[in-house]
Amino acid sequence: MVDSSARKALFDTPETHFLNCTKGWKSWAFTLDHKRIGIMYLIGVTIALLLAGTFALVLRTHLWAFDGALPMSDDMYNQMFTLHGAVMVFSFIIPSVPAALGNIVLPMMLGAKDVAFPRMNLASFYLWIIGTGMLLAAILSGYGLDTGWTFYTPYSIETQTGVIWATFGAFVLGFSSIFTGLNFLVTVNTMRSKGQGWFQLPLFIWSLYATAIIQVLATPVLGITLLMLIAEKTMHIGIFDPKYGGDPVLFQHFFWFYSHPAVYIMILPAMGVISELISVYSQKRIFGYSFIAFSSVAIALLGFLVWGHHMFTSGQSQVVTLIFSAITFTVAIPSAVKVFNWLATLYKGSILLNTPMCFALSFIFLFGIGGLTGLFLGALSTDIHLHDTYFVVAHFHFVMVGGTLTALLGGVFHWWPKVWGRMYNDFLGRVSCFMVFAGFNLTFFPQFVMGSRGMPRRYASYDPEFLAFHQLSTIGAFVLGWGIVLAVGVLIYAAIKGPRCGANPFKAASLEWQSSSPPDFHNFVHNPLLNDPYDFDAMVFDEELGTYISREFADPSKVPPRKEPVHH
Amino acid sequence: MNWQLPLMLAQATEKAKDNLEELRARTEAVSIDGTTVPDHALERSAEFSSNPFATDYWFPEQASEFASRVDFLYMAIFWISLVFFVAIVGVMVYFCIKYRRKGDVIDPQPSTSHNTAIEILWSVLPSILLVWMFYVGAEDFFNMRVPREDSEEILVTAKQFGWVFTYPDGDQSPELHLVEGQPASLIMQSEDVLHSFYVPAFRQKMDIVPGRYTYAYIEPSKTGQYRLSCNEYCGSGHSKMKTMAEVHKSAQARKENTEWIEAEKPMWENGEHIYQIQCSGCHKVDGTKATGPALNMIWGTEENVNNGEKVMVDRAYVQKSIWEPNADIVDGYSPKMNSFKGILDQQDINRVISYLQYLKAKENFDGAEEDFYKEHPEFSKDVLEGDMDESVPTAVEGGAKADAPSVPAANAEEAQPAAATAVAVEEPVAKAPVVEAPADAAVEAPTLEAPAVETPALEAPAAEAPAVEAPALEAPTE
Amino acid sequence: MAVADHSHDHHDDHHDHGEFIAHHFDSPEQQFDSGKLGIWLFLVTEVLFFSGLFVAYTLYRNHHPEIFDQAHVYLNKYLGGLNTIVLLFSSLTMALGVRSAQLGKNKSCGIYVLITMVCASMFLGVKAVEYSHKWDMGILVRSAFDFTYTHPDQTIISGLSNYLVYLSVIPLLLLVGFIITSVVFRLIDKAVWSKFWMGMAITVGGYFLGVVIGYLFMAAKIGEAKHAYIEPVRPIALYAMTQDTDHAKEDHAKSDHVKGDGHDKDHDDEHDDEHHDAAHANGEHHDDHGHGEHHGEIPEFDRNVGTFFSIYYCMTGLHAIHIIAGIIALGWLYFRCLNNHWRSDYFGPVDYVGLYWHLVDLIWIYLFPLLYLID
Repeated sequence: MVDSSARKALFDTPETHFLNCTKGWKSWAFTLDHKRIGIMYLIGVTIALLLAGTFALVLRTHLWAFDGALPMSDDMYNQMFTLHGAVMVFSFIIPSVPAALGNIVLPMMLGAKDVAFPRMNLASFYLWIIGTGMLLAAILSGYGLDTGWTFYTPYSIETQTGVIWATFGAFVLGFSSIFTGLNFLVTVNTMRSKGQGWFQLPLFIWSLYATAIIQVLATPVLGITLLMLIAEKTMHIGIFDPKYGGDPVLFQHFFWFYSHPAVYIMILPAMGVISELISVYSQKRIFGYSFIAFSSVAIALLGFLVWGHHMFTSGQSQVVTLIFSAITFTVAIPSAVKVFNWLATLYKGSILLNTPMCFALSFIFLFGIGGLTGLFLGALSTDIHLHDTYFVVAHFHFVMVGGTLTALLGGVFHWWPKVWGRMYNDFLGRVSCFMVFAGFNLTFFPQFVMGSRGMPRRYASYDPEFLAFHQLSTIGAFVLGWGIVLAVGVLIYAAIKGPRCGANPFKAASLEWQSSSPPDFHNFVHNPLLNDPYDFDAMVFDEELGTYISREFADPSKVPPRKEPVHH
Repeated sequence: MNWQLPLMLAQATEKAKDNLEELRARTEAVSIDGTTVPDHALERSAEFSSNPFATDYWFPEQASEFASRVDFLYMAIFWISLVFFVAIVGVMVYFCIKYRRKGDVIDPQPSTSHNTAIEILWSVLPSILLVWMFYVGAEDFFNMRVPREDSEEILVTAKQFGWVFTYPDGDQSPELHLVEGQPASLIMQSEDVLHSFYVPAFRQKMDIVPGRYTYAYIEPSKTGQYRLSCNEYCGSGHSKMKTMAEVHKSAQARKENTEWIEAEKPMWENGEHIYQIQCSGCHKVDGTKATGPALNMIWGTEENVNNGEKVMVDRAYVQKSIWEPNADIVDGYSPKMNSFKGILDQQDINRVISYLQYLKAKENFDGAEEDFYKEHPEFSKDVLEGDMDESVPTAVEGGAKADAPSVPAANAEEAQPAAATAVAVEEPVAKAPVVEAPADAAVEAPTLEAPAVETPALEAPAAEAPAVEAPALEAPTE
Repeated sequence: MAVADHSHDHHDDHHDHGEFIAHHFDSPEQQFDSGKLGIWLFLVTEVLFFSGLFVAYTLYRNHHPEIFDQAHVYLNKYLGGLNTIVLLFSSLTMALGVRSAQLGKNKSCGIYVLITMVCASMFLGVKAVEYSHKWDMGILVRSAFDFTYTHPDQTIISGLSNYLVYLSVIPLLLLVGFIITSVVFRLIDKAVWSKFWMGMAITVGGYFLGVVIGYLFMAAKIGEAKHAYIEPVRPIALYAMTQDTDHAKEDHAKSDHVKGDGHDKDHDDEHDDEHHDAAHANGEHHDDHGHGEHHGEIPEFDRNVGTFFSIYYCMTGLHAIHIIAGIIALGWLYFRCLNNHWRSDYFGPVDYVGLYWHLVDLIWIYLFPLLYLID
């Protein structure tokens, strides 16, 4: 039994919270608070996104004309697409959901005070800064980087650009990723609240856990690959360079052994976010919880077996090619079933179409296309035609941008009120979602057609027959860019000047919503009550506080009866 | 104390840099023998632009036998995907409208969160479709990767940033020229970095990896001109590394309508020449074992090697034997062979391979000499047009003569086949009826063959000899 | 309705848990379990990190067995064996150190940790001898591999290898620096710091101990007997062949009776002497491919052998870097031992570093047979 003033103390927006409990730049630079680290990560990856996105706009502008619209040499074009890819992959998309969103939310969802190793968390952030700095040093130093983000040998050995800076930067970023993953694995294993079993965890946790497994297992292989590349370039050890008895295709095997699981690092947490959004904004338990939980881990592990599907035309043996194609098709099933599960969750729900939900629905649309186009690439005969064409470019942008970026934006909007205690402008948020959706489709859908017609990728100029497609794509890119900028603008404004909101404006049921908004430094001032994270009926509206709180804290006289039995 | 050590490390780095400078200097397609691709040929390639009206909007033309299979699978996957996608999005939109929250009232209706039957259904049904997609894709893949017996072998050399195609008779072109209905097996090598051969109209693609051979296989089914582009990023000129593939109505048409860079001899003769200088000391071609195995029957056979395994004597094995002779030594022989890396380059190896193929074909052929080239047109210079009796084709005379002097100019110190053959420029004519070429049996046509064959070592430095002597030798031809 | 076990939220209870329990943990057990799981996960990443090199080793061994068969004889397996024993012993002392920490015996833990560090440095010292000897002989990575045949009478003893001197400069500076620092701290009465720096000086001393022992092995020609003799004739004969066809025929005839597969080493030794003398007699041969003079002209066979050494240097080099990192971690432990940090309810870091150390040892146990022993 809790009285009104106690309720206020527990859930009302506090005077002192994690944002203002200590002040000054040093309190942020040396913080051990996972929430502050998450915010710094978010700022960092957003800057990376905008920077690499600018490179992309330069590329698309140049491709407006078939012989190049900008007064830019082919060499410069090559550097632009390399840096776009490298910064986007290593500095933006891999850390984005786990390190930015995950850091803020994961410990709170577990009812914990912080992650297991807060200093390692801060180290991970500084490694991110150093690694990104080294990647960018490749541009700033004047050497440039023109190998493509994939660094294929022997060209990356021969080129005189800043390959060593960039690979070392990627190596450092790899450590950043490993630290985050290691931290999450240990936190989920040892710091769950007492009584919080594995199947009482929100699905976002499951997805972060599966992601962390990949981060820990796959990233070291990238590390050694990059070190070997540096050794090859400096000392010519003769492992990748055919002039010294090496094998260029071996580099591709090593590289993709990490980089394929890496794409699951990108998508699994995004799917976890979508699970949360769909369930909260339809106010229904996720359909097929066990399946989604297990499939996350299954995708993570299966993902280690399919790297060769990036190399069907590389000269690897036919037997191995067959095996990779077969396993690639098996990985498609769990993802497809997740989509069906989300739809079944919507069934008979009470659906609120606000900004995060719009992003979630947008995800289903865009990731659907992205996933389905993967089938064309998994089938061997069609892949021969489509490999390394714009079809592939369109496919991976659909899953990475239409998938991960969309989910990231949805998740950031969703948890924004929790972090700042302020509400975003929902109308403008939905406008930004629409702009992103429309701009994205306009940019990348024509690229499927281009690729099917034989337009190769990484080309600075092209045959005139592709002109119309490229121009559509360029227009779309600017719409997409402005949409992202609008979203970022809405979020920044909300954080500073948005109207105050309560601890739990959307009747969510997972543990992080049972703290105040913004939360205390230690996350919870009280013991969060353990309940089912999808038992929405356990939350009731409190008139006084103007927000939802769990039944145990509410005034019993004002609590409506239970609607349905609590699921366990 | 090895004072040289730091210097050696520095030198290794410098050498790598020099290689790069050299690579950078080569920005246009250069023929293997040192000739330059004629400008007009380069221009034709550069100006070629695929016909935008030739596509069915979604796909390029179907110019090879398996293009239709690829397109079929593509469309099948497309329609299956479209059905699923429309269903998914349709259901999503429908639910969002029907179950939309009205005002502030939150009232989700109870519904199950678990339904085994449905879950199995929507896992199994798509799985079946996926298995089918995999199977069709795999089956077609095999067809696309395994050459037919009667394929002609065309060597493809990719370099930054151009292409050189070498045809069985030794002629070269910066473009790919095929004959409708005649399957071609492309044997591809790179001189520097990774490239990839891609002709969208053929739906065929294969990476070209330096240091080894890769293979692509085409069955052209429609005449026309199609874009051929490099499909693996290779450096600053990657976007410009384009040429075209042209499918001709017949071999005759191909021979006549193309600006060839003429070779004086077929590949195998050049290979024979190399054999005589470099290999004949230890390898015989009459079946006898010497320091090394005999070479006349060895092509395409399976041999036992010294570590207990078997190897197939194919291109890769021959290349390895010449560059890394102490790997995979045939049983019963000692590791005595030194490496020819730096002495014989990739093209020389291609010539030697051609010679081995010739020897094998000769061994397996029993019949009249004249019929040999009917059976094996790939070993003759003028049978590509399908008719041996023809007198000198105009294309050969017109184009070749002008280029001939420049042929022997380069690489004089190498065992340059062109230099040696310069003595007999008009060989194609004379050779047709008198086909003897093998080193050992050079007795039959002494007036023509002997000088070229017997003392190749002496011939090599005489690079300037050719054009003058040719007319003299021409006289006695039949 | 379960309640989350966070009853310690209202803290002022530093003293309840002891000063080593971090704020975000609820109990020492939770902290220890977290640390343990954390270090195991880190070890998994290390294994995967090395796995790339092991895969490269496996692939190259499979594709070029002739290179691996020839090349490994250039490695001194006795020095490698010595290193193996040293590392195994260091694992033992590490385990004993963990045990001491568990019992709260800081002093003996410190001693064990110190011995572990000394063993680690010894390992590095022996490695320095191995590496410098190879560099003297031109055994480098693939691109720069240029094995210079030392005449059987010339050994490393005839002059101190300059490379060894270069490698030992930093340890020497560290040794001197640590001793001075230790003395300074003693003078300003900071006993613990002084002991720490003295311990680090002793550690560096272990490096020199390793160098001396390695040197003695070389002097006694333990493990040296073979590689100067193996196969020098064939490359020389091959070289002669590529130089000049006349001479090729001559040497060809001579080398015809050399056993082809080179495994009959005794037989080869006999013949090698003959050939070598013959080569000496043909004065011009010796000059043509004498010791410093055929740098750009080494036959391909030789260069290929460099591939083995590229892999060798990468694997042992990366391993050595991990040994150095381990020494630093152990140094930190040593410092904490001297400050009496360990108690029976708090000894986690010793356990964790111990696990890391055992992994480093284990990796060497894999490296040694694969590189040094397999024929």
